[in-house]
Amino acid sequence: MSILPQRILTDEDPQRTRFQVELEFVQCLANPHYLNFLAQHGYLKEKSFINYLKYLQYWKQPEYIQFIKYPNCLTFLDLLQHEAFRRELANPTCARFIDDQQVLFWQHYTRQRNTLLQTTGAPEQAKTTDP
Amino acid sequence: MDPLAERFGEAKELSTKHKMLAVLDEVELIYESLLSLLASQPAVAADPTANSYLSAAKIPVNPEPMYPEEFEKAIIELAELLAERQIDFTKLAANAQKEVEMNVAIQALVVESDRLKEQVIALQLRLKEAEQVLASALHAARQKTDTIKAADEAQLTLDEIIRYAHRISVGFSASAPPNWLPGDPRRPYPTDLEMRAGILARQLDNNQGIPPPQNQILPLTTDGLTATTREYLGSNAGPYTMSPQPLSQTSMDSPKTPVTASLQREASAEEPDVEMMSSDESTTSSSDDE
Repeated sequence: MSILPQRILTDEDPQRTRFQVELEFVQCLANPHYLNFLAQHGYLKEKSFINYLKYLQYWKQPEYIQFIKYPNCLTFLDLLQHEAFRRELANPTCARFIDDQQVLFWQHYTRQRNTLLQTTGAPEQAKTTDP
Repeated sequence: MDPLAERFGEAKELSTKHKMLAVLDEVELIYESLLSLLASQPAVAADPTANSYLSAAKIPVNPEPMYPEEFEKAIIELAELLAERQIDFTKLAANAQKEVEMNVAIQALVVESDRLKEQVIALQLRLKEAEQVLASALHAARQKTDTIKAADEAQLTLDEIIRYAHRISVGFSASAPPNWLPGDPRRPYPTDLEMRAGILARQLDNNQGIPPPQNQILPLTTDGLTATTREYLGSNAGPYTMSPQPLSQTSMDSPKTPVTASLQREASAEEPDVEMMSSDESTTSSSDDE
């Protein structure tokens, strides 16, 4: 049985590996708890890290963005360019607040759609489980 | 210098009213001296009615011998002074009249200026509102042109846009699944599990010897990849069930490395995703496969 991870690491094109690694990392920025972790461990203060975040902005271009599954990460990438946001993230209350707002916003469209289905009484099953 | 200024010297700033009163005081003095002059005449002193008037006016009746020429001269002097005072008084009265007219004109002008000031302020407010409206319109227009320019440069086809919209909707990353409840582990961002399952964690594992998380992801064949991805999809797509590898991390664990299994989903074909999604109870998943 070939072991995929090692194949990825040794035989595959290093460019492809780098692509995958950076894609994964940039999407992890959508997780506020992870951002809090980074802030608390001081990664967000390192100049090299800040430069890396600036470099990662290439993911916003159309030829790269098509691979991004969690588009929230790009908003956070933009916010992370600002010093004040990076400073605030060390605070766990801040991270929790961002998480709450993010999840609420995530539910917003679904909730609206449910309400619409209820009010119009569409024949499709309108689940009334409003979170 | 005009005679009034001469007479009043430094008191030029006195109001007309004061000047008129001063003139009247002087006239009074002139009359008093005239009466005392008359009283000094023996003929007047002898007359009892004259005496009674004079004593009522508190003018002492003391006949003094005086030459007729002196008397005449004095009378003439007093008369001249009186005439001068008369002229001053009429001038001052004319001045007063003019001042009254000027005051009336001034009041009218003040009222007019107030009215005009209010008009100007009203116009200023309207101008400010117009400026605000225009500024916001301009801002919106600028944003619009910027987006148009960006869209032109991007040269995206409708097909690509729809494909991407499908990609971010099918995995519930842009909007929540309709049956989502608090407690459901699915999130709009890669969760802990996904982060540990991806390539980055394994990279760091091999490079730096970081102790692996409690539940090490087994090495995978291509087929096995799809199967494991299905497992992860199963944990993310449906209600959370205990998979064969109990993943007991809480979200507050400090994840060592950022990792996303979603990448593997991109790498593999999309059919498994769509299959899993269509087996969901959810009706919002797109059932129209490409």
